[in-house]
Amino acid sequence: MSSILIGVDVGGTHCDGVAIDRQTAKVVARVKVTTTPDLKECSGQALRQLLETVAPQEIARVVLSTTLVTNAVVTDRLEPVGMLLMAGPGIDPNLLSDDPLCRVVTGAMDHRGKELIPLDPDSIRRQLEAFRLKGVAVVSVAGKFAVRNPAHELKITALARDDFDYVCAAHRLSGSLNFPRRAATAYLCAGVWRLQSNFVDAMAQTVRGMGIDAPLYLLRADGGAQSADHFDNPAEASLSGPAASIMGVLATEQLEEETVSFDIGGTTTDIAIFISGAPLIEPHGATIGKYKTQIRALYNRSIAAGGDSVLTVHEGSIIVGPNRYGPAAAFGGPNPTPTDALIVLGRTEGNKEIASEALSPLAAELGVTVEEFATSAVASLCKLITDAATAFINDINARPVYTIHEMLDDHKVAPQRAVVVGAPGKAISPYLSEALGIKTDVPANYDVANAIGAAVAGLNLEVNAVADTATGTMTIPEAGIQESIDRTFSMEDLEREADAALSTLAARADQLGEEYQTDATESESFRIVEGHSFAGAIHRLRLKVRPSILCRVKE
Amino acid sequence: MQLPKALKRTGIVFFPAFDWSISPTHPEREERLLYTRDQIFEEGLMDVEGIREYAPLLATEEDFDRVHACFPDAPSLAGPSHQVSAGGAIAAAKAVMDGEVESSFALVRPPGHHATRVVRGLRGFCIVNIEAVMIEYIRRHYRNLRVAIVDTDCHHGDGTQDIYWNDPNTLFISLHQDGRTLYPGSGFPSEFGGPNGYGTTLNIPLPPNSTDEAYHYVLDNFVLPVLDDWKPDLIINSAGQDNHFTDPITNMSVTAQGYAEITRKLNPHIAVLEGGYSVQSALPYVNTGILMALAGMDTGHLVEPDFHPGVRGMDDKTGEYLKKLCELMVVRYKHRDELAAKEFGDKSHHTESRTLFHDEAGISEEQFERVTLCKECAGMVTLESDAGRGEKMFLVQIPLGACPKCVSEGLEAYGNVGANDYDLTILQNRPEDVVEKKGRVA
Ligand SMILES: [Zn+2]
Ligand SMILES: [Zn+2]
Repeated sequence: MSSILIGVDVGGTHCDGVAIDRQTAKVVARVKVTTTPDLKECSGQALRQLLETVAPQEIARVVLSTTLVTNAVVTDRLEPVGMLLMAGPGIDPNLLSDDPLCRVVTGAMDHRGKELIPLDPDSIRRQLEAFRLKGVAVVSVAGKFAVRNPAHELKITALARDDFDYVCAAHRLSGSLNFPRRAATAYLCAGVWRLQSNFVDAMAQTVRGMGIDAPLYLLRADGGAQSADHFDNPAEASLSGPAASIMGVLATEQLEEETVSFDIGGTTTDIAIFISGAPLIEPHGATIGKYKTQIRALYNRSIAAGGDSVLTVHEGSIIVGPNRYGPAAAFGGPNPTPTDALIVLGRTEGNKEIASEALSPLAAELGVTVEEFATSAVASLCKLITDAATAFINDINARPVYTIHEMLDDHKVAPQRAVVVGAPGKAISPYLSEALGIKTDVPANYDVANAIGAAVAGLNLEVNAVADTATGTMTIPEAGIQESIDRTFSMEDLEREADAALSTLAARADQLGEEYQTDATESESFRIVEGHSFAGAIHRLRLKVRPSILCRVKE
Repeated sequence: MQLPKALKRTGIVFFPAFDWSISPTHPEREERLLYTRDQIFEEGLMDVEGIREYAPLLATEEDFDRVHACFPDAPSLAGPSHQVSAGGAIAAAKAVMDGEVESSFALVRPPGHHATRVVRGLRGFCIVNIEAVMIEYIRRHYRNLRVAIVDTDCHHGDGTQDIYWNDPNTLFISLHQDGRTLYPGSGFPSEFGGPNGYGTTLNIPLPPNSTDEAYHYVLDNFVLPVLDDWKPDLIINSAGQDNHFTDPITNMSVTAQGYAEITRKLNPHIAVLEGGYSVQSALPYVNTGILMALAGMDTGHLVEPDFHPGVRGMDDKTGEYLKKLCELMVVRYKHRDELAAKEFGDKSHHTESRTLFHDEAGISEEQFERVTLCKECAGMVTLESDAGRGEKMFLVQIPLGACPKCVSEGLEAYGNVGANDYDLTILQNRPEDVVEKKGRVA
């Protein structure tokens, strides 16, 4: 019986791997290797080391989380994308991109999916031909309100399919309204498609070569694990690092009360919020580099301060970060860091003499002892972290609501508990706990929580269903569904259809068929009045899988 | 893929109140702003750098009582929807006052510009005057600003006019479809303000079917020169959208482009949504246009699907009429002090009687107003209101910045009323920001 879940999380400096026995809920192997420029190399190395403890046939699945896609996006190493935009009234679509491969073509839909301007297939054919002549091999198409009626996007997809390696229709990526974000997501999707496919193919080969028969999964930005064979939007593999650590917190701690989590790394600290045992999802989609996208992501706030941040003194105050130039001085790094301070305070292992020596000029500048300086330096780091957490919580609480019911019933987030993970997490937690003034826990496997998160991450998906009985159509863009409905079609019917669409997508995303729970949000029904009588009804529903884990890891 | 930036930092409070309606088929129903939300969200406007979305606040009973005399009291008339709608306007104003944005748009419902000083029920879809509640909140919590309200709703803003009738510190300009052809039937050039605020109420009735060209003629030849001369600290636009050529309950011919241009010209600090009932064909585009124009974004691509060039021009007859009207009104505005002297002379007090109809509540009310003429302040006002059925009310208003004489006169007037002379007696003591009440329903 194969019950081992493998998780590998490739970060900027380290690549962590764990093997978890699902039956005993225990970590049976954990490895840490140095990240290599070719991410396939260190991922393979981590897997090989894990196989020293577990047998290939014991493995149920392998989940990878890497910085591959994020790095490609933030450093702008994307394959050239032939991008076609269609937009009716509103912001001039020509302003949305200065990329010469981004073209605005004729065609527009309105908010109810009614065609405002028809397509001009000939001009689209000419445009596609121009892309082809320029050597462009991937194409994306995005239309304003295509999620209400994807006909134009589908038609263009059909025209392009035979001549390009990959064609992305934006309406399939997210059913939420936000045309520029959807277009950006479609652009990234096509831009990273080849990179991601090549990586997945190579990793699949590596895994098979090791005798592992189990399916390969990739971690998504929303903390969901999805089959690498059916990873329809490769851009969703971005930001899996923060997602892995957030899922790791969920996997290592029982979270009943509202909780704030901190993943303290060398360069950055990531902050996340959990309500009713689930992490919050970014309300509009992730921002990656300069791109505001509709990629579903776990909601987190990142600050440039961590254990290896450079410590300096400016006008009598201690400054933490924002840069990291190397590891702590005590570990051969070039400058004093909060980790050196923690070594001086006896909170973490390391050469105390070198650490003291590194801190002493700064202590002298402030006229305090090295110990006093170390205490203040850690306090400064904790203040940055707690201030960022407070600002993050305030932002969450200031989010607008659109009904009187929600307005009067407005729940304010106020975490009563903190969980700290990441390499310097355990050493910092007593200080952070004091700064926060709430109960603070450090889980047993705090330093590999990210890999654990990848290993046990459940499924995560969402569909946005809209039924308009006056136009007689139902659309569920993410599932590629557009069907005729009659006047009696109700919210209950829509719930049933959305549920069915979600299970079809789930079966594709997870061949192991793990169970999942759904939450219907933003469920709204409106009567359509034309003249003075009812012309029909609009029902809208967002059905989400609740972020979950396959098992909670025991110590 | 990047959005154009806003040239002006702009706040938006969006509160569509998807769970509030007057009745299921009433123009003021749940889905009024549904398609507007779709358009604004699909445009990605909330992501534009420089545009910031604010959550509404909840206006309180005190905020309402500062402006209105509610019978029997504010909570029994103004429910949570009105608290959020007025609170949305307040949030929009705060963002401007706190310097976080240069201008803001309260895209909220229910509307408010038909709500008068005395509130007895629903009047022209309105209960509380959200602009006035907002302005008086600012005056209480920031400072006593000189405020101009330009009401571009298709209906005469009779409620706002009533509230600021005697206030020389608030300029109220209303452009609307001629009252002889549309609810509420008022808003004629002769309605020029009370004795202490004569000439700070300015009405421009427009003929039915007035177009962008007609509308902009009045802006260019009357509204903008007056604003320029009066020099307000704050410009508020009651941004009703029922002048649109597709609006089902009015007869005007303004386009989305026309509205964006109105916004650019007025350049208001705060725009507050009022009416507008063409929920599918106009509102999504007009609201988007107002927001983009406030933010200084290009609106050249914002052409509503039903647009045709024929809706824009102006015929000679309308041109002649508007030319004459604007010339007359400019003269009246310039000579407002002399006109006031002629109209009210050296009287110490001025009295007015009027009948006010609260249409949806079906209440007809007789009002008798007495204003102290004062050179130093907006003057003390007493208002007797009788709606029959044992619902008699007496209101004493001591205005913000009242002179000592008007303060003592107001306190005396309130003191002289016996507890049972009226069903409700209210003292609005604005300098102290207190409201006192007595009588059977107090
Ligand atoms: Zn109106
Ligand atoms: Zn006075």
